Amino acid sequence: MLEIKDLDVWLAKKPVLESVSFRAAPGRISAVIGPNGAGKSTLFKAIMNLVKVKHGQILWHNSDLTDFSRKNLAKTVAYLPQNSHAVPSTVYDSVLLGRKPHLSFRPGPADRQMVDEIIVDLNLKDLKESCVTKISGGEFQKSLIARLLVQNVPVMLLDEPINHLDVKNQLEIMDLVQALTIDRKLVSVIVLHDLNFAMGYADELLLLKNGKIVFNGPPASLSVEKLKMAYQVDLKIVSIDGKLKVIF
Amino acid sequence: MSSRTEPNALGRCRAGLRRPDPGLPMKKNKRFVFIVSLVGATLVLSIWSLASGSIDCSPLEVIKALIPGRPETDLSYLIVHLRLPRLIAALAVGGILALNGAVLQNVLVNPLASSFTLGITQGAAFGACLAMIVLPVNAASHVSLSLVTMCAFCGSILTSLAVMSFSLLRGMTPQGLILAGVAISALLSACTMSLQYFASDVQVVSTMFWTFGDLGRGGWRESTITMSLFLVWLGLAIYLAWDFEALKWGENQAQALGINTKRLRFFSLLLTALTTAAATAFFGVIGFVGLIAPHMVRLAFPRAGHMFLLPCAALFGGTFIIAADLLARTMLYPLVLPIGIICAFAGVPMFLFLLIKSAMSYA
Repeated sequence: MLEIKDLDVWLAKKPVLESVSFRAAPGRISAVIGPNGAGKSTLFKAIMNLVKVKHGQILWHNSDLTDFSRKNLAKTVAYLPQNSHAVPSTVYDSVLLGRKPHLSFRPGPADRQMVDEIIVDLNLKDLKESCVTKISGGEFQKSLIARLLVQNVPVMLLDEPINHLDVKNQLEIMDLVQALTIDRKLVSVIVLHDLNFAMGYADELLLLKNGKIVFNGPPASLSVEKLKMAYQVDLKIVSIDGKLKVIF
Repeated sequence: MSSRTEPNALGRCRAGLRRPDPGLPMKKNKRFVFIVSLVGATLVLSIWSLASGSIDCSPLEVIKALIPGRPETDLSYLIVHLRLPRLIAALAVGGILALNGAVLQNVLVNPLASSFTLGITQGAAFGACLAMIVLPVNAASHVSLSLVTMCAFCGSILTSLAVMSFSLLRGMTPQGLILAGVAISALLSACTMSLQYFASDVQVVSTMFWTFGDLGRGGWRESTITMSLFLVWLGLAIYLAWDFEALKWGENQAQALGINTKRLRFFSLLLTALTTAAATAFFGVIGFVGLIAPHMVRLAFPRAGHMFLLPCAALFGGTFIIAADLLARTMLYPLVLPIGIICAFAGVPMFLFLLIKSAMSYA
C-alpha cells in the first residue's frame, strides 16, 4: 500500500501541494485529475524525491520513501515523467535501461532475458532494433511502459502517458496499463487530463485544485459540482450503457 | 472507451503496429567491423608514424626496434626515445579530448560541448602567458618549461573549478554551466590579451607558439602521465556508461532510474577538467577533435549506446591525432606544421561530409 500522509510541498516559496493525503492499493488504478497547475506532476515529483517535501510522509509498507536512497527508490517506484522525449536509441536498449537500478556494472543474461520477455509480452518484438525516434507515438509510449516493467517494482507512476496520442493508441495504452496493474498487482497512479479515460479506467480518483484535494474516491461517487468547481467549466456526468461519461 | 470487463490477459491488449525485422545480425556485424577497422587503422598508422621522420625506415625495422633486449642502434634510439613517446602522447591526447567531448556533450546536454566549453584552454593559455610574460622564464631552459607547464595546468584547473562551482548552485541548469564557461573563457581571453599587449615581441611570439600545440613538447614522463590518466578515466567512463545512457533521456528520467545526476555531473566535470588540463599543459592546445570525434561515431552509429560510443570515440580521437601528427610532420618536411591546424583542415571536411550524408539518408 502506497500511503501519502498530510503532504505539503512548497516551490519558490509558494505552496504547490497542501495537506494531500491518499492511499493507493495494489492491483488498482488511481487517476490524478485536475486543471493545469493543480499540482499533479509535483505530487509525482515529491513521491520520486525530485522536489523537497516540506511536511508529511510518503509511506510504502510503513517506510518513508523520502528516506530512501535514489537507487532504492528506483527499486521500489517506477516513474514515467511528463512529455518524455525520444532520443536516438534502439527500442531494446531503451527498455534495457529499466534494469539500471539493479545493475552494478552492465546488464547480465538474466536482465536481458527479462527484457526479452517483456518485449514479447508487449508486442514489441518486431521493433526491438528500431530507433525509438522513428516509431509511432503509441509504440514509443509502449516502449517506455516496457522500461518501467523491467524495472520490476511494485509501484508505477505515469504522468500523462496518453497525451499526444490518437484514440486508438490511447485505448491501447490504457488497456495495457489496466491489464498490467491487475496481472502484476501493481500500485498504478496515473495523471490523466482526459476525464472520460479517468472515469473509465480508474478505480480511485484524486481530484486536485490549487494543490488541495477536492475529491478522493471511486469515480461513481464524484459529484458534478466538485468537477465544475475544480475546472470552472459547465459540464455534466451522464451514464451511457452503464458507463460514466463527462460531457462538456 | 475500452470495456472494463476484459482487462486481464496481456495477450488481449490491442497489438501495436508490426514492422519487418530490420536485421539484427547485420547491425552487430557492422559495429564489429568498425571496431576491428579502427584498431587496424590505429596499428597501421602507429607503425607508419614510427617509421616516418627525419630518417625513414621500414615497418620491419620499427618492429625490431620495439622488441626489448635487442642491442640499441641510432635508429632504435630514435624510434623508442623520440617517436614512441610522441605516438603515445598522440593516442592519449586524442583519446582524452574525444572521450571528454563525448562525456561533456552528454552531461551538459549540448552537442557543441567539448573541453573548451569549461574554459580549460583559455585557462591554460592564460597560465602559460603569465609564466612566460610575468615570471622570469627562459624559453630554452628545461626548468622554465616545467614552470610554464605547471602554470598552464594550474590555470586550467582553477578555471574549470570556477566553472564547476556553478554546478553546485541549486537550480543551475547544464545550459547555465555552459554560459558560465563561455563568460569565464571570455574574461580569461581578455586577461591573456592584456598580458600580451604589455609584453615584448619575443614574449608574444612565445605565447602564440605555445598555444599551437606540439606533441613533441613532452618526453616519456609527460606521455606516460597522460596515457595513465587517459586509461584510468576511460575505465571509469566505461563503468559509468549506463549512467550516461540514462542521462541521455533527461534529468528526471535518469533520477527516476536511481542516478544521482548532480553527483554524476560534478564527477564527470572534475575528471574531464583534470585530464584535459594535463593534456593541454603538457602538449598545448589541440582543438576540434573533442568536438568531432564523438559526433563522427554517432553519425556512423546513431543508435549506439555509451558502452559503444565512449571507447570508440576515444579510439577514434587517438587515431585521428596520430594521423594528423603524421601529416603535420611529413606534409611539408622538414617544416613541421602545428597539429591543431591539421586537425581542423582534415577534420572539418570529413565531419561535414558525414553530416551531409547523414542528412541525405534521413531525407
